[in-house]
Amino acid sequence: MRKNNQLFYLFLASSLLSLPVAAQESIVDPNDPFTRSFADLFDEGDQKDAQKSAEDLVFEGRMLLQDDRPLDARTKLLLALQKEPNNIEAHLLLGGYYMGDVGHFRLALKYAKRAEQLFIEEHGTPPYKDSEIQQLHASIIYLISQVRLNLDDYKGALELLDKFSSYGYFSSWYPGTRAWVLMKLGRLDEAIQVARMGTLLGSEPGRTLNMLGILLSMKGERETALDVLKKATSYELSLGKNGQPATPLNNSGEVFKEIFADEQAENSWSKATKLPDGCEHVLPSLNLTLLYIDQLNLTAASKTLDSFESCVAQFPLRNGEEHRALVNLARGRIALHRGQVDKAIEHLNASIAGRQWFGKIGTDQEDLDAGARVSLGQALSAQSNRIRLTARDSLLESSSALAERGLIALRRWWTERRAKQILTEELEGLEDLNIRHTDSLIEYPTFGELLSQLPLPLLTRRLDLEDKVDSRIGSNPYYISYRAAGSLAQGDMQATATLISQALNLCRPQKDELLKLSLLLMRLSLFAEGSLEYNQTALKVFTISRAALRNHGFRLPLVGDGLSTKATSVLYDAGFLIGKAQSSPYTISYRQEQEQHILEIKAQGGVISDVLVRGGSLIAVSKKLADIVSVIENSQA
Amino acid sequence: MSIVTPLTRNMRWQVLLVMTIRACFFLLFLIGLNHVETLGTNPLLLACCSGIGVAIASLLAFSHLSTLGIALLSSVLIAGFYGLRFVSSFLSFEGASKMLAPYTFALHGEMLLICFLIGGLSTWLFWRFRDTPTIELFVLLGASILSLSGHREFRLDNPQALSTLAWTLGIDQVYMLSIVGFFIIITSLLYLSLAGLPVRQSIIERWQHYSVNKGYRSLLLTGGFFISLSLLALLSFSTVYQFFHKASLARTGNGVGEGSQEGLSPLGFNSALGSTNQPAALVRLDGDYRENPFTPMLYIRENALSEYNDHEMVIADNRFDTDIPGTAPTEPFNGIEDAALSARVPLNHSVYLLADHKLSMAVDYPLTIRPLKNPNPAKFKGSFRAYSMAPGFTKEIMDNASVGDPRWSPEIKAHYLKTNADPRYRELAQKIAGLKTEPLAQAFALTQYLSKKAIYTLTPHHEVDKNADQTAPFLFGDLRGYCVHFAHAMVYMLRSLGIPARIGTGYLTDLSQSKDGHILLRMSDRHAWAEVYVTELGWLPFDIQPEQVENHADTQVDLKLLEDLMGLLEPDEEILPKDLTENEPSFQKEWDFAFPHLSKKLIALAILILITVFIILKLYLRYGWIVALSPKSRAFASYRSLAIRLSDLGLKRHAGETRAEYRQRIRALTGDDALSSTDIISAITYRAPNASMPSVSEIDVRRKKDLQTLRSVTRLRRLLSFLNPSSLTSLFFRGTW
Repeated sequence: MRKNNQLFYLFLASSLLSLPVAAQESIVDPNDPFTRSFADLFDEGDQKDAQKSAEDLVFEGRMLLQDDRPLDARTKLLLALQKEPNNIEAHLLLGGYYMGDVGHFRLALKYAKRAEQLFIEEHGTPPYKDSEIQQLHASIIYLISQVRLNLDDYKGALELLDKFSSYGYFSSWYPGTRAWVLMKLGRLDEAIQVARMGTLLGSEPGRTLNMLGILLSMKGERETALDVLKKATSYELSLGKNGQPATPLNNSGEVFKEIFADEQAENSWSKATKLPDGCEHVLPSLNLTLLYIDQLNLTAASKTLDSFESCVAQFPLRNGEEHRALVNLARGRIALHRGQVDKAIEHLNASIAGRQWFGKIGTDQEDLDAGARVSLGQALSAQSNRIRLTARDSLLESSSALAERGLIALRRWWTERRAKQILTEELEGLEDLNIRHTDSLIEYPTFGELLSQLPLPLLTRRLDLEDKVDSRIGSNPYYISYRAAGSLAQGDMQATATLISQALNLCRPQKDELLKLSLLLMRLSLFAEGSLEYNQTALKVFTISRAALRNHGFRLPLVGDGLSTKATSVLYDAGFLIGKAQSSPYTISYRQEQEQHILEIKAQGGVISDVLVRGGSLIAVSKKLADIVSVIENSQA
Repeated sequence: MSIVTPLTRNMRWQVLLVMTIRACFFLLFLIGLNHVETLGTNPLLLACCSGIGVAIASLLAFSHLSTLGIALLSSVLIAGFYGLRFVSSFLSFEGASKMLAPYTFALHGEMLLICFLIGGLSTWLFWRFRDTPTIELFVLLGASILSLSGHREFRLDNPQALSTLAWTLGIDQVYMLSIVGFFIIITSLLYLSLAGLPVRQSIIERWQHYSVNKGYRSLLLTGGFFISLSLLALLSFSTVYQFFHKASLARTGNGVGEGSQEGLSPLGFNSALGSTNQPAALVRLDGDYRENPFTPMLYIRENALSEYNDHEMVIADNRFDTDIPGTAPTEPFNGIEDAALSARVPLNHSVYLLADHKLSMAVDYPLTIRPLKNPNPAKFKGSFRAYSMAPGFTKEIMDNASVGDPRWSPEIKAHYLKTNADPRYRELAQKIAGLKTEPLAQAFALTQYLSKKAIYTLTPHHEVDKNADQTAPFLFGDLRGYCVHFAHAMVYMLRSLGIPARIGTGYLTDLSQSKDGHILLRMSDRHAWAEVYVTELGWLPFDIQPEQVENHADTQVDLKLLEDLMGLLEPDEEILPKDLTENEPSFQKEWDFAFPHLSKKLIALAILILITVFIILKLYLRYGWIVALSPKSRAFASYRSLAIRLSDLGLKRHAGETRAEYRQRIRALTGDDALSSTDIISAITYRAPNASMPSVSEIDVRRKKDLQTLRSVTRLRRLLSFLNPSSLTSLFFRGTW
């Protein structure tokens, strides 16, 4: 965002104009607007500034902005405004600073509007004859339209763009911006027309081509979109340091993901995150993280977010407000799949509560809200299941757990109800059902859990509709898994089993690991606990994800080595299914040594190594063991 | 529908009053709830449904319909709704949106139905069951306590809605809490008085008269009541337990207090004082400070502890630590620039205090601190501007640097090297330093050791005598502690290696959570860290960044609050007129309701007047006989005094009940004749025209006797009964007590 500002160039041009301003009698310092004079206010470091004229301060402010010293610039520009409250250029530069560097759009709009007001007071209403005045006016309109765009006021932004063209102004940024606003207003065909015209005119080719690529992908013309985005990337790369190739690369990645070309998508995003302009942008990192989550590569997903956050931390002026909700969403999902359920709930709540800036993303607040709520519903379900699968030694503890689960169930019902409402009502009749929809933030492999709550006839008809319009082969296992989830909710075991097998056959190895896990969990619920099929499926699930069984309320089959009835019962309560002749590679034993209770799992192969847990009581040890086995710590793969 | 109970005009008004108040409660509740969590359906529509439920239930409550009947009716309604929803899923429409329209409609319908049922069933229970108000009140007060419990431990920003309201109104958050508490109490008392309305008593009694199978019903009700209460108790227990568990983790910020007395320490080893997210100050940087060697962290120093008093580090006298201003935020400070220091850059910054501070703080070294006029006294406790020479060194400089200041006298040098006599500190320090001979390399080795090995926790629980060494159980024990433990351990070890060190206290903040150079400091940002005097660079933090964190109180900055506070520092109207964004849609508030700006005094006065009026009326009703001079008025005032007391104790005279019946009932219930004054009233009312009036002394004797009987009630209960507004509300609604 910071370097994406063509504004400064416009400001530079505009500052060439010598704009006479009225002298002000009273001077007020924004730092201390009440009593003090400049000499009192500023210490040794800026005594000199107090003696300078407003014009000099504005000049220095502009230079400092160009030199990437925005706080020094802000201080000087504010001082200039104390001296000359009607200095148009100071207002304009401050507006640009708050929009481009700080992301404080409301304050930016105030400065920009004040600049416009002062400009009209001085030069009268448009049109203007003088080309320099026209240029300054165009700059003001541009700034206001950009701020409105960032405040998600697309109608307002379009009004200004109309005004801009009605005065006969034209600038290279115009086609790209107009196309963007039209896209946000849902006028896709018009937007494509404008973007195509822009590319023909050669105005900001990289940005306009990127825009055209996005629009074409939204129209479903994915192959053409990829070609256009490739051109945009090449163009940006050709600009060297001044280019911004990360943006078209990110968009290419999105299109690749839509056509299930996961490797190319991963390459595009990895490349984008390594570029200087890509590391501080949330989208490539977020997209890459979500792709890794689909593959259940949680270590890579976590690392991607860590790199992004450490990159952003280099810019102390920005507090990351614009991306925090998205990062929380991804972190919440990672924590959930690792079995760190409380952490997941914390992140997902923060994601729902956070404000997200969507000015430049095709996504909007509803998409985020829906995605976060669907995941939060899953996290709450996992929390409830984990409480259920905990051994307890008192009636009070059990009653308290029951009450807690009641509250969680209530919260889950509410969260999922809102999610369904947003998806069906605010997102155009479940438009997110289209697998890997560009704007969507849904976790598709696990989406079936929520969809199964829809009445089956309705879900079937809606899926039929999607099947008709979606010819991508990669999306088939997803749709089938949703049908299976619907059948399972209806209790049609036979149909469910058939659908699960179909979907599993279509899953791509390593790419669709989360979907595969989701399907196996569905299959697990078809079998009676302790049956051979149950044990085999549960062990398969455990191999894919150690956290999934407990998250979904299933017990891990273990072979008991001389366990007493009490120990077996406690371990059953703690989420372990003890059998004698099972084919589990894990054997559990229990012993007491010097008032210490010891549980030990010996693994012959499998995903965990030997585990030994000691504690003061069998219950405490069983809890500890359950956590060790079913929670994947951040340091673990 | 036939009405069982014929309603008088007065009773109809009472029913209407209950309906209106309950409907208004649902309206306010739903609007408030929608503010906290988007309901997805228009809250006004939901409130309408609740209102309809309230009205229908109120009407049905006066009919022959039994509770079983109402339960059946509700079940039919629910079954009908879900049946209809299921049938609607078979409806086939073209297009995704239309296809899902019936389902979307059903989701709204579900919410409307829930609101209708909650409004209706709760109102039904209110009319038909004596104990409903107690349970409803229990739930309401429980919810209030739970939602306000976040204010404990100075969590004034939680719940955020109240915090925001306090900011909007411009009043202190503690006042806000008091006001809310007061209104909750008043609302509860008003609610209790609604429960005491004669029409409700009447319907409950009449219905009991008509009902059949009393024993079965009673058993069912008692069982239901018991189960509900048990569930509520369990829920409350579980939630309160969780709250306390979490609160105990969040409570201990970092042990940094504000004491500034020589020879004492503001730090705590076992009960940390820094209290989570309470906003402490807003700092505004007026320069980029790109040279900050600790980016993205920023140390803002308040004080230093350099004297070792044989068991901990304390504040030294003014011969030492001369770089620390030690002045109050209202006092100016002029420091002397140390020309020998290099790699320092000038930095201007302003501090706007949001909580009381005894000392001013600034990025080190402050050269000048000047008080600023408070831009908004309602929000800020004070403000000042600091000009500092901030550290701007690079790693390369540190590589060749030595420690200590050659200009120091032997006394000063000894002061900064005096350390814990326990030889284990030196042994451990030497072991960690290994073969390193350079002091800074040794210092870095110590920080690395603690960062890797020690575990950050807010609950270290070391049981050590107050005057003993608190650091040893940490460093040579479980290595579990917070910044205070880390800083002490570092200083003792550094000094044992001959490296001059001290503890710096103040705030450590993360610049990545700042905006436009504005940093919101919270109490949880309070920190203590070890400092080493590096030759020609001055005192520099050598802080521990523990890799293992058991628990910590750190949370993200409230960006909304930060932005609000930034707004208070925006240029005035001359530069940015207020009407600039009048027509901008993004500036239009969704809920355009401005709270009137009430001064604290006015609110306090209103509360005081309300309480005073309440007390005066109560006193008048109880002791009005003192001012009644004629025997007749004295007799009636005496009787009223007794009846009021009984009513406040929960033994109210029923509508239509004669005084004699009332007296008998009280006698039957309590076994005492607490209303022997009834005889006097009867004697006055039914005396023959020429008969003499009872004398004043006779009236007083009876009253004293009756009052004596009432003394058998415990003192606490009598005291509590004084707070019961029931007698007052009866007086207003019925015109009698």
